Amino acid sequence: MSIMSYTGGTVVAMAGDECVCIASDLRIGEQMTTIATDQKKVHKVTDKVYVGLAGFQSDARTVLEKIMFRKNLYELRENRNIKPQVLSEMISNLAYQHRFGSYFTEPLVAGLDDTNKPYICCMDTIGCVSAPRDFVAVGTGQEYLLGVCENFWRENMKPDELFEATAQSILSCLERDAASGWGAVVYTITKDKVNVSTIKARMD
Amino acid sequence: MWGETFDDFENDEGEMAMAKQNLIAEPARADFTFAKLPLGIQPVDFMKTHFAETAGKSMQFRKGTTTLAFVYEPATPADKGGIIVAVDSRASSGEYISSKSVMKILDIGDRMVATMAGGAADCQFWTRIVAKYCTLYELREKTSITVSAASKYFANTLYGYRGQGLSVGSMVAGYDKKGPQIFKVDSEGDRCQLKVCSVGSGSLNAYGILDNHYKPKMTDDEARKLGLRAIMHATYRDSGSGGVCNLCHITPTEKIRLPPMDVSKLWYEFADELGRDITYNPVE
Repeated sequence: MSIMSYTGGTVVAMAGDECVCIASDLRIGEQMTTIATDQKKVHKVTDKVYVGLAGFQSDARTVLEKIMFRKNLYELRENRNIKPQVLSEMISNLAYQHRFGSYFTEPLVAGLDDTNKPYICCMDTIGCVSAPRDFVAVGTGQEYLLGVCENFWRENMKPDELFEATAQSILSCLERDAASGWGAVVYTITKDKVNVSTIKARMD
Repeated sequence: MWGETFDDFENDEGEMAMAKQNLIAEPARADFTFAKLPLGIQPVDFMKTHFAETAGKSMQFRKGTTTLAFVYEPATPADKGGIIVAVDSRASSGEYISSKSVMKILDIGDRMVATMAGGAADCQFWTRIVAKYCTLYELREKTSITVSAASKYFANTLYGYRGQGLSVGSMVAGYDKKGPQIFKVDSEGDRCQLKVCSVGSGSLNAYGILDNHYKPKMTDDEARKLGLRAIMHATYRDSGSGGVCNLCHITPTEKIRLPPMDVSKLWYEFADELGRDITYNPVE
């Protein structure tokens, strides 16, 4: 089994009208065995910017620390909140610094910039950014997610529609991906608040 | 030829002897001829090259399972006792769930079943061959075959293909004149009789529950619940197992197939029973 699917896990993000949704499953495993069912892979960076880290979770933790370190330095130096576009560039640079021995994690950034325009992007393990305007997914369930998202995504969705689309997409993915599941958590980021909801999923 | 009976040869003794020889001959051992690879190519290497994890999902065989079976005696006169066979219903290729509703309890006769773990096609094909053998045996001998004999035929057949990459882990379970019996048979040629048995990627998890709660004497309800629970806990921890729990109860008089139970639903009921709070609250 590949190291990228050793712990399992999936993260997805969707963009709407002045809002973004980012969701992850809750499983952490050691290959076929489920170790814990309370490990979210989505992390808060600022009030309106979140990062998701799929792949090998030991590396994901390390990368998260490095991301927070660089982001804190940036905010101290610049004295303003980091924009999602800037953060993704930063993570991309961080990832490419390890081009010849990369971390086994695929980062995903979702957030609102200072004009409340949604921004989502994902990258591979060595920092190749792709920032489409609709949706992104990383992790063991990526292929399943991209398929269902294609069907659920609509132009200019409002926060509640966007939440529904994201939640349904990740639940569909969990039905077919054995390495992810055991519950999911969805963050809906709007200009004045972030809504967190945990979703029940199949426990097998 | 078809439809002829011994009555047709009654008049001639010579013809009768010939007919007996032709019609009651022991069926030959199933010797199939499978398509051969070109000379110099080893089947196992060939399969590794083209069907292993490096190949695409559609090229991988279906695997991943939890199956269990146990024998128990009735605790009260109201119970029937016998054998409980319980299995999950997931088929996976790597981490891809290729089916959520596989029937892994295969019928061999009216009183016997075989469970399916390992390569799905291997199990389905070879249990079909065993079932055929058992039917012919019953017609010839006018008595049902014992579980021991059926499982031995199964094991011998698998042994004939040893080292050629077959993947089978099956439990042959049933009731015969000797009582309730379970034989574990695998593609390495192993065959052993057990009272409590589990096979598959989730078998260790199932054994955990089974070893803790199994008693030689149980009520029917207790026994069925134990089977369900062991499968449910195995599917919770093992990502290779899941879907629904199919359960078969073989009693001294009949074979009862119970309706499939959703393991996820069972888990939530179990958590409710414990009063455990399972709601996940993320902390920043």
